[in-house]
Amino acid sequence: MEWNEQQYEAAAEGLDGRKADLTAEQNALAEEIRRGEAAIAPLLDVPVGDEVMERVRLRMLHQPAAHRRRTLRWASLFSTAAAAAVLLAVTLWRQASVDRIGPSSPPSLANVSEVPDLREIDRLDEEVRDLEDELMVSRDPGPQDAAWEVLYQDSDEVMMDDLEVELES
Amino acid sequence: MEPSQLRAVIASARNGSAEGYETLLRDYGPRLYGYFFRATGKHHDAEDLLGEVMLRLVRELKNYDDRGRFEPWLFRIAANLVRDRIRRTRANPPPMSISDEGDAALPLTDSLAGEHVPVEAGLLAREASAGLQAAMERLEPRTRHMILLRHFGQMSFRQIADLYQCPLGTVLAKVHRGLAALRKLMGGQDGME
Repeated sequence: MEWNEQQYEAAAEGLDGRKADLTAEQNALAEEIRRGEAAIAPLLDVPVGDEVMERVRLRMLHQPAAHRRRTLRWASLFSTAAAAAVLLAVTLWRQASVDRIGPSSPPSLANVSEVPDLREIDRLDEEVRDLEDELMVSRDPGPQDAAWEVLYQDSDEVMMDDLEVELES
Repeated sequence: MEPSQLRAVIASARNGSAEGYETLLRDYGPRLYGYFFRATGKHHDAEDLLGEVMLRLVRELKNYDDRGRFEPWLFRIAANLVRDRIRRTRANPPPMSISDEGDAALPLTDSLAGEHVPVEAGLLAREASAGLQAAMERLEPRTRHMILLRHFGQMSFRQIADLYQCPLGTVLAKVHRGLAALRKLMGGQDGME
């Protein structure tokens, strides 16, 4: 016997217990299915060994804890790696900045905090003065200086001549 | 298990009680194992999937809606696991070995583990079970799963229709034809005629 979609649907509703007023054909279909299911039921069941149940029980109770521990371990590892990566990135960035624009503070300013050595300053001052003296002593008279010298001698002679004239008179 | 008792067990398991989970395993484990074995044809896969579904239960029980029925919810998870396993097996077929010859044959590993021998009642029962398994394997996969979910999951036709997202009448038609095919394939064996 052939059944259509509507009859199957009605029979399914009947087998699910949601529909009571089935036609004779729908009832026959439902009954045939019920018998078919009942016939295979005893053959379908598969006994399970106690060892299987025990292994599954242990897995069920212990694996979630192991999974949690593994997750925590991974989380810890990732956070450490992330911190190391950030540290490395900051170090590289600072290094790149120094290479590009030089150190963040000039050396003169960097040494401001150091206590000045007064003796060293005196020594340097004295050294500078000595150098100036040496410079003055070793200095050769240039052409301009020689001209002035001649001029001075001439003017002295003129002045002496004028003085002698006055004395004579 | 009585509905009120089941609610108490679920509540206990939700509170993290190992005893609650053990009770659920004791009550539903054998049926789930049967479903997995009939769906995959291998004791090893059945045990592995039973472990998987219980782990899912531990993780997902907090999402279970008390107003619904527990068994269909549990077997829905089981059906999805079977579907994933079959899909994965098709994508990466295991290497052939002597133990894999035929779905009805007991895998060598299972025989060595000694699981199968003590749990089978006898040679006739074993033959009938193997014959049914061979016949089931010849059914269209979706029809086979519908018949298995009806028996092991005690799911209504409406729940199976929702699971497979197909019309109610189609589910019954498939189950009807599947049962008829099994009767034909198993003709002459005890329980089928």
